[in-house]
Amino acid sequence: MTEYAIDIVNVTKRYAEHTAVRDLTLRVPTGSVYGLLGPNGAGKTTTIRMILNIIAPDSGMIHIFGRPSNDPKITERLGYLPEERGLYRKMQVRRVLKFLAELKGVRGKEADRRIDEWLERLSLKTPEKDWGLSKIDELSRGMQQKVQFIGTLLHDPDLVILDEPFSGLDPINAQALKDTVVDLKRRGKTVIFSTHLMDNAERLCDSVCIIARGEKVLDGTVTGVKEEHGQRNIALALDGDGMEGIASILRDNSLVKRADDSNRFFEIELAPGADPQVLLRRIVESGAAVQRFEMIQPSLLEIFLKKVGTNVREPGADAWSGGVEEG
Amino acid sequence: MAKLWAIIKREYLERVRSKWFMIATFFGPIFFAAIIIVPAWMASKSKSTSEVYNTIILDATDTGFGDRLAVNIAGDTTIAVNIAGDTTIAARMPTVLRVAPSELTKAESTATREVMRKERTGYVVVDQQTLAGESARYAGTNATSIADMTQIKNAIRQTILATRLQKVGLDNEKMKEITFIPLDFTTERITERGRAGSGMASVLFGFSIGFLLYLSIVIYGQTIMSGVLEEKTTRVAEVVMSSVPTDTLLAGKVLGVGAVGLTQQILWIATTYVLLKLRAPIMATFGAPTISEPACSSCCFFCWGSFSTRRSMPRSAHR
Repeated sequence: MTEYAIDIVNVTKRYAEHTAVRDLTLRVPTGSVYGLLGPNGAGKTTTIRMILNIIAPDSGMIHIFGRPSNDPKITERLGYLPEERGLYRKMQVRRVLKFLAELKGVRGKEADRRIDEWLERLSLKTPEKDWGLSKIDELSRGMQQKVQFIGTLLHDPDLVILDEPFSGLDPINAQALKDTVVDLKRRGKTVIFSTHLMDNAERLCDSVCIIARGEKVLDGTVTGVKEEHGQRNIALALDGDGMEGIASILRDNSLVKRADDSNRFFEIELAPGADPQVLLRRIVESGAAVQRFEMIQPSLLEIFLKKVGTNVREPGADAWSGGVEEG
Repeated sequence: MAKLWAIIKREYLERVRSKWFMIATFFGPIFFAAIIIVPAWMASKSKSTSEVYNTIILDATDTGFGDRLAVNIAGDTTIAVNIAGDTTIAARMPTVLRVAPSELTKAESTATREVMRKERTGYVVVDQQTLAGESARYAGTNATSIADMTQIKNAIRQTILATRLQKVGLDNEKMKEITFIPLDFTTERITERGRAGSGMASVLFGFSIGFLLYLSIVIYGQTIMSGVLEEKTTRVAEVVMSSVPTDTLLAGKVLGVGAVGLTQQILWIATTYVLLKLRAPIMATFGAPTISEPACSSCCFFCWGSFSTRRSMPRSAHR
């Protein structure tokens, strides 16, 4: 087993005048859950497509489990869930899954057995109804996503690549996906997923890489990244009363450098030299009912915003609301 | 190879199972036959009608031109007529009205009313300008019928020609006898193995095969294109391309769709063969007499039908 599931060295990809990925180098440790984080248009999906050999890099090298990414034998060890889900709409679910399994080298009865197992696991086959016999376009969107997810994992890949896996999922299916990712990790599989949902990344990932404008901003283990960007942050939760007095305290630059206000929950970065005890005393004196006052590490979201900023979208990326998105 | 086979299998089975395949296989030959039969039927419908004989010729030439024109319009279908008299009316012959040039307008008005009352189909006006080969007029309900107008126009030309020949002392019938050459030109192809039958049959066979190839390439090529489009729009292509190289994917599509086309054409040929063999009981079921094999095949399968019908026809029919 190689140390790195994915080893990307100085990879660049250009489209006409636009550079989607610029001199990217990153390593995904084998057996880890790796988060590829970045705003829309950062180059996440382009990077994933290059890993999967769907598009070729203009320069640089990509190795998967120590072999070049264009090695045909390596594709059977990969499972890919694209951001924009797509299946053959007129095909029966079971036939689609069998086709996808055959493309990955799983055939015959073994494929049927695995399909049954997964359909039952994701509640698509119950004593009342076997959705496997239905056509794809007869399924709800959530069910189609489940089918696509089964197609990704049916051949038990060693490396699972999930592009924005949580987009469009309801909380129940999102939780099922998280459970599956954790299960894959337990079984020694490597999972890499792109997302811009930082709390999911923070909870699931062992390591992360933040990219923006096609360039790597930072990477490393989640713990390491947090320690590296360690600040004196305070999590503050208040009860409903006494909120008025808090605003003036948060505006005091001698105490607070920055505050992330979520109505009754605040993530506060202390000003240099400020004493947290002074801050607590002033909050209590303001009459606010304190439920929680805790020194914490910065969240990934905070690090992300600090490193990437809020103005990182590519020119023209506003058109994304029309449905064009590239990670 | 296993991945290529998986793609071929999917392309083939999904298409063969589809309603499109069932419909195309069943209605395809009917559609193709319609392509051949409908234009032929339309052409037969556009042949000159008997209405052309129910016209009036307003003759303002004062030379008997109208009478000769009437005979020429009637052609072979009219009974023998005597044109020496004033106005001769045969069973299927236009009526000739000799009018003075000054009364032509009035005669036209009268003829128009007759046409409006549907007593007549239309009227032809011939005058000195017609004799000079410059102009003639027709008005009638069948003015849009290309065949009728062509017949009248040709008859006028023929009559002018005959008039001119008479002027220089040539007999029209004699001229026809000299210029009519009903040459029967048969062709036979010789190959390395000797005589290979009718040259025309070979041309028709080649044309038929070429047409089949053309249709196959257009139809099945379009099927491949729509399959690629479907995969691009539904984003399945991305999943498939993460598993197989693009050339394998395309090869699988081409072979799969090609196999569908072969299946369809084999079914058509097999159906034609079975229908051909069972035509007697089938026709008997409908109380119809058994038709000849070539005629039957022409109905079942337009291409082969066209070929064999041509071969089975007597030569005179070709002419």
